[in-house]
Amino acid sequence: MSTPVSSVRMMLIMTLVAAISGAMIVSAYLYTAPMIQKNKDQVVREAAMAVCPGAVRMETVVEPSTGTRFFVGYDKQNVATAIALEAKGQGFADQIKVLYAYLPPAHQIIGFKVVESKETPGIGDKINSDTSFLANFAHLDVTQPIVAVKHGNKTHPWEIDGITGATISSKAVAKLMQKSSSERLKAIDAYWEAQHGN
Amino acid sequence: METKAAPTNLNTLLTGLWNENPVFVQLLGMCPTLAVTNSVRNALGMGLATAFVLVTSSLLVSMLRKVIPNQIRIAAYVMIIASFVTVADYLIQALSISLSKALGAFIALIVVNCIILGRAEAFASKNTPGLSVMDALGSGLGFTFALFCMGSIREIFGNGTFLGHLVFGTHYQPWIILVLPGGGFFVLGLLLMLVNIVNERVKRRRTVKVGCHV
Repeated sequence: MSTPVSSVRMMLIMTLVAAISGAMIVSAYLYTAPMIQKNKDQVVREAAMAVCPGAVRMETVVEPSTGTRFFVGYDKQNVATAIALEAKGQGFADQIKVLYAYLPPAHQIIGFKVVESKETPGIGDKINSDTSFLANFAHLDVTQPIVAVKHGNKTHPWEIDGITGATISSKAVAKLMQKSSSERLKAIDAYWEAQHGN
Repeated sequence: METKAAPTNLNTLLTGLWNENPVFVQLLGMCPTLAVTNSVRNALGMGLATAFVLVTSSLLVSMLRKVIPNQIRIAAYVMIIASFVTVADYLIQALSISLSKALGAFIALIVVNCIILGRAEAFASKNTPGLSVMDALGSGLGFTFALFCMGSIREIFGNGTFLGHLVFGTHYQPWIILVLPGGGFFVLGLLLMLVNIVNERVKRRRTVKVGCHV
């Protein structure tokens, strides 16, 4: 049987334990915060570099109106090649996060990469590996709303040829791309025109 | 009358590693065992994170065992464990963002892993810091070993790779079911059967030896 302990002593001991815990958490946070931020930036930069064809350097720009960021890719001659944007939307299992490259003069999406997804392995996760699906994003027109169609039925440049067996994931990608492009590309066009001309 | 021998560091370590393996013998920590062992990298990440929390929280619980009154011990242990889980979460994010994303909510859920609270309550709160660390290390390594076995089988046959490297070549058709949630149950069942067979044989051999000696 436990011996009686006064409430004040119990409160003091809990305070001591809380203080030790708090000190540990704060120390760990202060020590790791710069490393975590560096890792996060590195992951996004690598993905942005991968989707912008020919880019050897990325520049991060923050849209003044919305506060959201995008990346401008520059080639060896320091000429802007494309703009990489982040987008996300609900997939079959969880949120799908992607990065895509947009070329304002052509009004086309020219690159695409899934940054984060929990789609079903072997089925929905083909959105990150199926070559015929990824080929949709080599020249995807954004002058019309982006839609997903059944595999083999693509007839227009704004359509995404879906993956057989992964219809929900294919449609989810089309939906999030349509949402992001309709919301953000006008501002991107204006930025490009102001910075680089047409 | 036979007296119970005092626990030694090595015995304490080996007990958690095999004789009382948290997964294969005690069937504890089943949630991460089934959920994050679809690859070797994830399995090792989760196993080592849990081992880190086990060792550090056992050490602190043992150091404070004479200070913390019985009435508030569970609340104090949970607070200590939760702090070390937060520290482990930060460290994993600092090491690899992709590993942190792959393990997801299961890192935070280490707080409610009954292996950790179990060792704190059953062992660390009654023993010296040195012995408590050995006990936690044994359980942590035992847990990591079990997750590594699960992850290896699931990744090799379910994805055709080991730590991302091709094992069977490009013509191998992976058994995708093994990396899906259902596959976790199949592999766990298989491993439990193997461990039981091994333990039964060892026990039988010992019985025969003792019989011969008598």
